[in-house]
Amino acid sequence: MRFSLATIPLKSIDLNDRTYKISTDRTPDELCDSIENVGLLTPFLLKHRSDRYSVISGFRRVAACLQLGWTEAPAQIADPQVNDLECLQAAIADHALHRPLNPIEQSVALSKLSAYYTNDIELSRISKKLGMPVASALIPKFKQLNRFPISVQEGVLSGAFSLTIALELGSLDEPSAEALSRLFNALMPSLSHQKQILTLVREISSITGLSIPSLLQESFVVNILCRSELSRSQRIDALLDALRRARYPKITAFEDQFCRLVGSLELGGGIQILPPKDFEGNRFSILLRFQTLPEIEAHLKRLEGAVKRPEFKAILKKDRADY
Amino acid sequence: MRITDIYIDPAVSDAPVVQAIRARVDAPARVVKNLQSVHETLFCSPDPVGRGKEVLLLTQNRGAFVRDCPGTRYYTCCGYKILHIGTFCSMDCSYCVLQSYFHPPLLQFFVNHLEMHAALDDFFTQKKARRIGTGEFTDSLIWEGVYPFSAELVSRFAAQSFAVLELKTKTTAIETVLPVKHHRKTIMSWSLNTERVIREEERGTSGLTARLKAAAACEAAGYPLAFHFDPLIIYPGCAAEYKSVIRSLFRYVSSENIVWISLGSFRFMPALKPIIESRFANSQITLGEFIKGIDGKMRYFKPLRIDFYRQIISFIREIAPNVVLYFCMEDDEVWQKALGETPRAFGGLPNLLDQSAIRHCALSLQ
Repeated sequence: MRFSLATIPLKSIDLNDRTYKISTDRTPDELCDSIENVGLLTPFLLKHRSDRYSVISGFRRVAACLQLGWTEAPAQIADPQVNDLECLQAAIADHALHRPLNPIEQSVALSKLSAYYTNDIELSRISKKLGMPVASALIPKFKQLNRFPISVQEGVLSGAFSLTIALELGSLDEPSAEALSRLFNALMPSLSHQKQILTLVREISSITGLSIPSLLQESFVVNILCRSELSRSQRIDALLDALRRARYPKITAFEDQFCRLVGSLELGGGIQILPPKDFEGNRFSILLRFQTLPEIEAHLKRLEGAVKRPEFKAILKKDRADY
Repeated sequence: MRITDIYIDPAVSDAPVVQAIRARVDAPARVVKNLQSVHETLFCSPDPVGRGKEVLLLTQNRGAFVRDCPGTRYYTCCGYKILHIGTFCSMDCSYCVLQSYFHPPLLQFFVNHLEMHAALDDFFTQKKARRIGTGEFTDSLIWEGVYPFSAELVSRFAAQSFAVLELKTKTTAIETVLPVKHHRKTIMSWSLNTERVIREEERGTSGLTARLKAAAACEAAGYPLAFHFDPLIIYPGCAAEYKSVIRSLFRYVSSENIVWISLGSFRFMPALKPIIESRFANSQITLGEFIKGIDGKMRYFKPLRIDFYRQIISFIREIAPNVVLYFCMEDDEVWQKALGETPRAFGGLPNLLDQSAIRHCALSLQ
């Protein structure tokens, strides 16, 4: 692949031609400062097409030079025999040489390369050679990313959610993906919480027939998000609880009634009755917290009274009628 | 059964069963040295599970032909034995555990029948278990179009009096067994569900009425019968629909000829959920109120299961007060609250079912 250095009038560069564009759009402001101070250290790569030039690599540098009022700049021009695939490879290699490509850029690069390589194993091998190693198993996933709604792509770029969550969001219709992206960008839940929220929201939507954007506009969701007195993690917990109640109304009603029955026993703070996990097994536990002998004696006395009460028997019986 | 490709294990390529199947099934057949390559071919398909229903591998059962039904410790198991004739199913039920049980699932038919008969000889001699069936890892009767050998099994069981064979199905492929002398040592059994569940979740299976008519034909041919309400699926309006199924059942067959009816609510390993979601996009069956059971499977919240079982049992008892009912994989609490007794009252669940088999199938007591 051969390039030759030349000084090019900037108005002859077609910035609308995105054939080889890999990088995500960023403002050239910082770059302007650098170029103004130390000059253009790396000329951009161009390809001559009829009467104009296409950018192979250096969209941001061209934009910075234009912003600085330059009319011409040095550039590396690809020889006419350099073909489109070679230009694309040069674009990817040039970017990867300067900094690791972000997931969206990798997605764009792989999508463009896949016009030439249909086999993912070969695509993986080529991408590695170009300084952008991606395992072949991940390639089908990466290729989808740049087609997802902008809010999903932004979430990936900002680190608000992972590739896994982005793929889940990308499988939804656009309004749903947008609505959830906004929620995640606002609350910044952990990956595990994102997965829980996503699953609960999808399932509630399927059960109720309510679209995801409508569901997220329901008062039980909006009211939680508006509670400014709560910390971010408290709002996440409250949201998860509200979604769980909507998804599992009978289970949560049963749990609430268990709590009411336990509360009616007036056991005090040092005694806790723990049900079997999900009420599936039959073994209950009692947790006693104490420091002194009189304290445990008081607990035992309270327990002795409690076990004789009908509410205690109802707790053990685990019947929905009693609950 | 729609077979598009037959793969043959070189170890059995000369087996008479293979030749018979090749003559019956109109599909290209090839001997494959590396069986892994068949699995790899399936994995390359966009729907490996669906593809596995069209690909038939003729091979040998390298493990045991007679094996224990896979139960777990906490929940009560009936001590059933499986006669392992093949794997997977040509019908396509959304809830089918076989979709995630085999990796990847594909239709396998074991053709080393000499070994199978030897295993049955051993089974009959040991006299340790009385109930055995072919319908756990596959449907018992889907193979009749490929290699009709149920009649052969029925005859084998007819020639002894210690154990019963259960042929469990969602098909109506009974033509081959109807004329066979069975001596009531084979129980013909059907999995039943509501019309809605059959329509929406059981692709390619026979309709409810067709199943009940087939059961009635088997009863007319003297066969004892069994029915399995498994999986029971909870959805709005389900109780009335299951009641209707139960009423239909007893219009077609007599309760006195039913050896047992099992009840089992829908349960699934978590790994099955994404498979159902991707293969059955409109299915709502994973959207119930499930918890993770003690065996790791997702189950309906126990109080909901108990309430639901109580209703189903009352519908059955109303018409057939004496029919033997049992739960597949439930604990004593469910038994006690829904049926009023635990299996201990009958000397254990295996004994309850053995005794029913002895009564209905004229088994020897020794």
